[in-house]
Amino acid sequence: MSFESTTAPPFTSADPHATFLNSTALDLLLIELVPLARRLSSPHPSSSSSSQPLPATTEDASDDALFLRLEALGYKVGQGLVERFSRDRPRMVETLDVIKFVCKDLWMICWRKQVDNLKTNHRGVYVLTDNSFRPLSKMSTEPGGNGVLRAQPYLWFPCGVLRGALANMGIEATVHAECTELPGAVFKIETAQKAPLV
Amino acid sequence: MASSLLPPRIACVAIIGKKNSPLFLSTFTKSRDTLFFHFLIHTTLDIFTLRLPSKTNGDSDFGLLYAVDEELACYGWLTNTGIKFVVAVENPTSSGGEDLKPVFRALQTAYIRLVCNPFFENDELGAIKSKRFQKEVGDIVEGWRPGSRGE
Repeated sequence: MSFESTTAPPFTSADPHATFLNSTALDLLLIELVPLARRLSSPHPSSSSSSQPLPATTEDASDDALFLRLEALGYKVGQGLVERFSRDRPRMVETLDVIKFVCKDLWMICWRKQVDNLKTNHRGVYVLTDNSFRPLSKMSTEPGGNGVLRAQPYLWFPCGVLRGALANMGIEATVHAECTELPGAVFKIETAQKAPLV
Repeated sequence: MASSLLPPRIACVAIIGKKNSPLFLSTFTKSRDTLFFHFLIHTTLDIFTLRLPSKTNGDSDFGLLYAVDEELACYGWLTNTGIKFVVAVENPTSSGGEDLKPVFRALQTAYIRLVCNPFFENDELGAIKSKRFQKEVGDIVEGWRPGSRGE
């Protein structure tokens, strides 16, 4: 009798039950996801083809809509990932344990590396620095091409993943991401109080 | 006593959410009604809360939570995401729930498969209605043989 249809990490290729996914699939999906979400959340789909520039206010509004859409998608993904990958792990009691799980394990699962630097003020704010964030690693622009600004929407889905992961582990948090120089990314996690597990 | 001669059997499987909302309850016995099990599972929540601070070895298994005379015993399992699984066993043996570990692992696997379904509404409010999940739980309960350790 074998109930175990999925195996616990770490996976090895020798295990016949382990299923693998090419991590490029997530890269390609993310590349398409952002423009698609932009088209969907654009308030005037017909006017986007015309050459008239939109007023600044509508652009802000559509940016907000884009952020909410991408973040909500990531939130759901983060919740599912944690449900799957936190099994058979020791119980995480402190908030810092959960943040470490995110930095090490979740980062490894999603982006094939660990976070380069983790800082905290010990009052619920955590700053995660990744010097070469995978979704940004293939991006380049000519000088003055506003690359940092144009890369920003590609960090919103990962933001949602982080928030969903933390929420499912009982930590309500807000997550902001910014890119100061390609391909680095900085995620700032501000936690509210930790909800009791039971 | 006749009851001690009967083999142990799983009578009820329940899943309780992060905020102690009942997500799922399924019974596999005719001897008691469902409401009885709702009460029984409800009382186990206190034991989860009570044991959590002193539980330092860090695994999910809470072992025996509660025994109602000699006929029924409740065993518990708590995931890292705060989901609680409770299994009630009729005519329990004195194994301390060690042989239920594969059952809990299988239940958790089934639950993970359920929540990773993109159409699943993970809102913690509604009960789980998925027919496939119901069937998987039924198969796990049917497949359980006391004494096996899930090789």
